[in-house]
Amino acid sequence: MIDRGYIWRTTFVAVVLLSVWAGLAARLGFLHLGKNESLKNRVRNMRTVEEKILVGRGRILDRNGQLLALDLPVRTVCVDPLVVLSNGQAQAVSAQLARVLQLPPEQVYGRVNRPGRRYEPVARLVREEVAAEVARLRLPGVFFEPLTTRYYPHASAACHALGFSNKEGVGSAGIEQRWDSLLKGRPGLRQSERDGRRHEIYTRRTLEIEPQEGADIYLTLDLNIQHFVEKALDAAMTNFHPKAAWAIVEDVRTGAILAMASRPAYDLNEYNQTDADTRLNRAVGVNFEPGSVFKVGVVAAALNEGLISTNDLFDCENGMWFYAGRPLRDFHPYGTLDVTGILRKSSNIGAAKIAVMLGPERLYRYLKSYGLGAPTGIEVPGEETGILNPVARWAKVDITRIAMGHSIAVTALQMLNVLCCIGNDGFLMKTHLVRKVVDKDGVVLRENKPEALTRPITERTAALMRHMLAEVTREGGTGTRAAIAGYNVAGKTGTAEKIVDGRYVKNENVSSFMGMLPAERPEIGIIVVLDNPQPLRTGGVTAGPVFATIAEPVAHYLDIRPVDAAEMAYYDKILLGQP
Amino acid sequence: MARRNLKNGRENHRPMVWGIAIFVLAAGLAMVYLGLHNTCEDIGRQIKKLEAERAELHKRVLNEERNWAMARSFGNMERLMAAHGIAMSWPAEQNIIRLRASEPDEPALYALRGGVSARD
Repeated sequence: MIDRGYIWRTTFVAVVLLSVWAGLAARLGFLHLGKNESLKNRVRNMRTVEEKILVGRGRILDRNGQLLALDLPVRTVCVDPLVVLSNGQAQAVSAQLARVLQLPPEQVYGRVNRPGRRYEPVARLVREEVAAEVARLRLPGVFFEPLTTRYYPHASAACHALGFSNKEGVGSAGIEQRWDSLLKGRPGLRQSERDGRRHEIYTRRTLEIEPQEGADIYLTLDLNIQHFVEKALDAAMTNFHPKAAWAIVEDVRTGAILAMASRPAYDLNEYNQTDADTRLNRAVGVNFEPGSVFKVGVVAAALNEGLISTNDLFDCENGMWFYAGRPLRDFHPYGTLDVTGILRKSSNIGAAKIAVMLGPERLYRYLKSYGLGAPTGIEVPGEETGILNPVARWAKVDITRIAMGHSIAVTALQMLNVLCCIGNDGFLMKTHLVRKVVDKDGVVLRENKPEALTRPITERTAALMRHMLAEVTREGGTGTRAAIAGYNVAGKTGTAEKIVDGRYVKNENVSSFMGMLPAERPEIGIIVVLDNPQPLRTGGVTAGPVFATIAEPVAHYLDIRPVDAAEMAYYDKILLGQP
Repeated sequence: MARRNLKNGRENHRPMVWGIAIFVLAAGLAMVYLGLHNTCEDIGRQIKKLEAERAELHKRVLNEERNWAMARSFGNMERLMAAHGIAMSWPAEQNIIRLRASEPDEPALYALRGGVSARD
């Protein structure tokens, strides 16, 4: 006989269980079949993952493939003070971290000894090798945060041309800024789902847009030549105490910039610790009155017009000449000089008389055809255009001042272009700093090839000019300190008085030297500018030696072949008009 | 009679056979599905692992590139040369023997040399 109580109990339990199961089934059915959009969305949001696939910026390399800028994976070394302090190892952990990270122990201890904190960064931008060394110590409470930073392996080398990208990865100066759109690439996108452990489930990927990595930029700069230039400028800063110094080396035949440097300079990896003046790329970003180096353009124009020949004699008025009621002086008094002598001795009066023969309109036309008063289009931001007023705004006396490089302003690059035009048989080349842009698949996106812009002077004029300019660095010239053994250097010195508060100041100068070698068939052109050197002030004794310090190793490095006797005879025939 | 019963019995079993066959087929398909699913999951895991490995290798490449650039830098070269007491200078012009591919000179210059190129 079955106990009735037992039957009731069993029935009761069965009913309860069935009710629970029915309730769960109903809830399940309700959840699946009902309209529970908010719940569904919550679940979907918890499972769905949408992430940007970030890519690094492209690299910047010199003409030989030497790395100048790259994105480098680094780590932030952090500590969890709560863990470290609860283990009673604050002193030991601090000492070990300080030793490996090469930080003051008290600084690290100050970070570690913060009760109640769970996160303290000890060192930022730590290289992977160093982070690995820290990881090997297995210190309690020490962990790492990976990140990527822009890194410049050569610190201050070519800093003004390269520029930098800021913490957000946006190019903010130099090549980094001008070529930001190509360097930064385009991030990709991935939509997928993740499991309970928050790991992505690969088979649930619903969308994958591949990132487009930033392109690599190959510059025309040569890091070795850049080093020669920067070393020479550093020495110039020490020897001549200028406020600033800058120099450019250009391939005469192609217009490619081989080196571009300014002083003062700064470490690109610590760009935020410098001021705007230090970051200024003076080679293209400073207008200055060039002084006597400008005579080169004026004499070339007059020669090209057939108004003068190299042997024509000019009365240099023993150092004082009045034009339009205003006096014009020479640095040293001269009597009669031929055109070569005017360049060799850098006579202001001789150059002014040549300019007067040429006339304002013709002179202006030549200056424009040299590319003055307009940007060269070099691929860095902040390029100045120079100042070349239209003839209508010239005072009568201006033509004599322009002839000696005053009442006009140029950038160093513009001035060097005039010289390189003479070196390149009269062809003015488009200067460029970027050789090519290559994407990650090796496809060349852009390539700069040599491009002739204009031809202001003929081949013969150019040859005559080179012949005369070679005299400047020979005995009796103003640029003898720019001469280098084994080569003829064609160049010109310049010493311009600076304008302070609207007036020319006697004891403050912009001193310069620009030259090219070998004089007969130039391969490289170099300009050196020193802003207010002291106590020596003239271009011949300050910028001239700096030029030689740069030109000599560059000539060896590029293996520039000196001109031999047979070749010299050939060029002499060109000079005589019988090529 | 007995014979007819046997036939009837076979006819009665036919739906069950079909049922078993369909069940076996369904089970087979389910197994294939599970197998494929597992294979896909496995490949997915491998791809994820390889992606992580590639990212890690990319980091290493960047680090090595940086180290190589630093090693080749002028500053490092000068430091090493100083450490080893090496002083270098450029060779004199007469000590240089140029070996270059023959390039044609300008025609007039080539003729002047009596048919001998400067680069010969």
